[in-house]
Amino acid sequence: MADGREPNAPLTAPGIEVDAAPGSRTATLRYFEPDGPFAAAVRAATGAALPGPLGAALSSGAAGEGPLILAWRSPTETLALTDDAARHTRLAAALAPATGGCFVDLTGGLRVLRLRGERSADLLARLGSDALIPRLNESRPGRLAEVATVALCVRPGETLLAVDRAYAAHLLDWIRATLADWPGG
Amino acid sequence: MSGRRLPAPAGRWLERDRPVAFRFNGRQLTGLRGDTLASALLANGIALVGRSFKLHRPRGVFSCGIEESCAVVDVGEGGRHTANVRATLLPIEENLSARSVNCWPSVGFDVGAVTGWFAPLLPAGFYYKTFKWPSWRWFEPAIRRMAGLGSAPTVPDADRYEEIAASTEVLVVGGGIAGLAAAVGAARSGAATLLVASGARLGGTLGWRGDAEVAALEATARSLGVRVLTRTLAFGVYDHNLVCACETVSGEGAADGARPVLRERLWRIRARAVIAAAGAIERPLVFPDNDRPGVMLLGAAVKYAQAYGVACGARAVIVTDSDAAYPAAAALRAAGIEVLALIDRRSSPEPAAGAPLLRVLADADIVSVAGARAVRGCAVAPVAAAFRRRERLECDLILSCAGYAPAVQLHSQAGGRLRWLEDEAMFVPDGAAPGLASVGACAGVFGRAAAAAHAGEVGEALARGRPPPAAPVGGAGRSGPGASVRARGKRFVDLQNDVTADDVRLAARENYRSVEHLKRYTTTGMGTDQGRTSNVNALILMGECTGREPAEVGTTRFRPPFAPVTLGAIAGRRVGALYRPLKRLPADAWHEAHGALFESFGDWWRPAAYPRAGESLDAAAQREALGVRRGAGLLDGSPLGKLEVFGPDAGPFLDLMYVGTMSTLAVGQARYGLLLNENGVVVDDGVVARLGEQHWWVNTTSSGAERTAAAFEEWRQCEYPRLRVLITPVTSRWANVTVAGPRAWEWLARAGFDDRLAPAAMKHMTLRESALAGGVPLRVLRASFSGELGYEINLPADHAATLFARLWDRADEMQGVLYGIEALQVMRTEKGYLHVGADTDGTTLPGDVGFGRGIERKAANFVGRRSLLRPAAQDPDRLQLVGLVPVDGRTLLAVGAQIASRRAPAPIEGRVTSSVMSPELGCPVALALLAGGARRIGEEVRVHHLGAMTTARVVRPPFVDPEGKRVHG
Repeated sequence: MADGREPNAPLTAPGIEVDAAPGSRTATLRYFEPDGPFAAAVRAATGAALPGPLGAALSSGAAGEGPLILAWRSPTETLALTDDAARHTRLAAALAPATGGCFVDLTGGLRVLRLRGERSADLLARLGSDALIPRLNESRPGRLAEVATVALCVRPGETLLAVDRAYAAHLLDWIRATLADWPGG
Repeated sequence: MSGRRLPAPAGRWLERDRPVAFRFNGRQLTGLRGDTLASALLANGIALVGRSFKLHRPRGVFSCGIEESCAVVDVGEGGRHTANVRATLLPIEENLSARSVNCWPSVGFDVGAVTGWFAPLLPAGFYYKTFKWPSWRWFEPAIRRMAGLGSAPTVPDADRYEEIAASTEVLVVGGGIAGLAAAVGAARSGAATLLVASGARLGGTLGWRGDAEVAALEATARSLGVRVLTRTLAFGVYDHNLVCACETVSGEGAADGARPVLRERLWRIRARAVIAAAGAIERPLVFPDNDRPGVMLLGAAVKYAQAYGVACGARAVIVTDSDAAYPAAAALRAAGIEVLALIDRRSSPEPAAGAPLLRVLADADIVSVAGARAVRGCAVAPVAAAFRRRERLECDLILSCAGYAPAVQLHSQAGGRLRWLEDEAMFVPDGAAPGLASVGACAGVFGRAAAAAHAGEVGEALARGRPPPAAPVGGAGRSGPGASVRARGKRFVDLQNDVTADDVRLAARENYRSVEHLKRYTTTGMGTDQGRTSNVNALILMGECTGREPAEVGTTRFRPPFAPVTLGAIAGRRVGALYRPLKRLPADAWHEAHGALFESFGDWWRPAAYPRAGESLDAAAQREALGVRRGAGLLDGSPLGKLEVFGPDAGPFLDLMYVGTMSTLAVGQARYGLLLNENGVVVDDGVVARLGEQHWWVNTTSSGAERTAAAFEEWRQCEYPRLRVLITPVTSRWANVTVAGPRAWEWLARAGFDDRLAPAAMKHMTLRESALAGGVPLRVLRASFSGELGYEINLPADHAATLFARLWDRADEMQGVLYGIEALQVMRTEKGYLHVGADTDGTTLPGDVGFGRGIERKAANFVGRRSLLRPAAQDPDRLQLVGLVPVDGRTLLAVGAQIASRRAPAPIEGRVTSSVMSPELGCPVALALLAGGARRIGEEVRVHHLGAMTTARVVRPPFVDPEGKRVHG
């Protein structure tokens, strides 16, 4: 991560590790209907359907492509996260002519933190809400540490937190403070 | 009162081989591991613990639990000072230091006790009367000094607190036999069950008796996977079954080292169903001098003996009007405490087993208590001859019992109703509350077997989503009213607030008959104990005074918290740097490295200025502003709110949102707009630019991005759902590097920017999409909040620091400056540009700030338009934005200063909203909202601030470049 306040080294405590998801490219897909022409264009471009409410999906893509995560954020919005810059660019280009929605690049505006370990749920509960503990293939928008966050899970044992860049330092500071009092730590 | 330690097996909770040293009022004392502060003080023979709230009367330990009203102490020092801790709940630990409250110089010799001499002048509500005559100000200092309990800490809390969220299907509050049975019932039915108990151990009143059934239930609960939290007090039931509970993580004495500890944890628990098993509290009797140290609740003395191995006295007298006193008296005797007599107010009591061993004085009452700082005896007389045939009993402990008061607070918080049981003299839940069912003693079920069976059924029913079965109320025995008073003397109803029976009578005489008025007028039921031992007695007395039954008098509605909660627990992590979320700039490290002085503006942590060594903030702002006006400057404008609005109806939608017409803009053009609410009030402003046929860029104010996005969404979703528009906030995606000043373009050109951005090719209020080398996209807007030629360069946030560095490399050759928000405020005030929130308030309409003609010109509808047609909106005497200059040419007007024709009291004509020293003009200038300001140009007005008056001339802004030529370069 670029900002000095964000962790270069993972934050660790018993049963939990927090770090920045590397090189994330982020975009938000906005559409009028979740099953309209824009959704069809997304399916054509990614091979994956727009996830339903609270859903998240991992699109592995073609050979040589990095994985792409689609995470539901609201009835008219899905986040698209990938570490593969080329795939991000191709998706933007593919969706540019689509009707019924738009691709809005959020790269750099959204930070993605990665939580790993069997006690990720403990940490999320201490950040303010156990309603944001996602199960596999779930995306849960809400508030953690008093800032809007999307918590999602597309790989077992790994939770991603997508948070507005301006608030990422605040969320990380809250996590640091929590881990300083971590039970068993 | 001569407390002493009883030999084992008394004291089941003690570890007798582990002494603990602690201090009380500076005195070194020793207790045993397992003691509370109260039990340890009693074991050390200390009867006098504190002074009362109003009259500073000596007070001792009165109870053995959460209901304690007298033994309230301050604990810890400095950053670990906690006020008003109940000694009955405070476990002693090494290094614990506690002090009596509300006394000076000592609890034994308290100067404040002179208040007692004036007690007849200080009845209930006396301070309300001081509001009327002669003046509250005369009394206020003395009342504030004399009243109160503990002292607030003067330094920040040294420890930490956290918050945790949890969800469960069934939440059980209370760890007694009923709570355990309910948890087992719920868990057996397959429900995820969480049990919270305020004590360190489970079992409730059976916990210290080594009860086999309790142990078996606890083992079963754990085997069924019931999650158990001890030392966790559920203090509030809120909407939709949100229960808040406070867990004590580290004890008061545990944090004596320098290292902060996690002190408490606030649980926010969502439960599908809540079961309250909070037990009941013993109710005292009211009799003369019933507040003396050594007067206690009977059940408390039994608990001290059995759980803590403490005899609270050597010779006890029990006074009661309840059957419940008889088994308790027998238990006390069995523990080795002599009971001189049991005085039963009832004429024909029905004593339970064990009574034959007691001397029972029926139809009698205590008519006086001897001893001021400790009980030395009491006088007893038959009720029929209260003041004639007295018998003195040489006791050192008086124990009273008037039955029980079920802990119905959680039921009441959840919206449940109560009903009065005449025979038992208690309020019990009238059925279940929404989402919450009560079991055990708090439901009025006092029989052990009945309570356990009913609780188990309730647990099972709620786990299965069925309605809970009705509570088999009973088992408490009969009780009299308890509060009836048949002798003279100061008879306390509420010990914590010094409310006497006479105070209740006075309230009735003054017609404060409603229980809500009774509470507010007398203060009974207020304070840290929230009237747990006083509420029922007070309303029974009120009923007697007004000829009503207690059921008619009713109770106050109980509100959270059930017991005091520290502010630390409520604040949790929200202290210091985490007090509130502050937004960070994408290039804040770059600014920090270049000497920025950061301050919070709105929600952002951003450079206020870049002061040089020894330079003040104001001086830096002046230098920076002048630097921009004479050359050029760089500003981080990233906080500027940014929205992308997309869709076939985006243009008409923005026309509805803004006073300005946006749909007619060509691609690449931009326009200023005012955002109004439905009342026509200005709530934000900004610039709207067109990126494409269906694609728009909206700049809001820095603090208005979320507000504007929310307003857009609300109007779109609620009022204009047919418009096909998508609104996406992108503030953090796009950094904003603003270059302003007459040499702004020269600076950009030297840094290699595209010639298409030159002023000749790109007009003011236009937007171009461009790119840096390497393909970094740019959205460059020609706009200005400084009044100078300005470029707002929006680029992906990850590249902000790089662009600042690239431009700053050319700063020397351009004599460029970095400028912060303070310099920007100086320049925009010189230009008379509106700062929404500073130059507007919750009444400001567009016409008040010079946009009346824009409204007249706009044909299309927009939000707030109809409100602007009201006569009040057309009033020429409305507050209108004008410029002010001090007549003396040197006095800086204070922001917020009032404009009035004479000194106060006088009608206020307006106020100063923005004020700066203009580096360009060399004199102060200001903006103000002034009544009828538009037609008062040239007038002189008087501006008042903190007793000083300045004469200022009303002028029409702007103060600098009135023709507005500079923005064009």
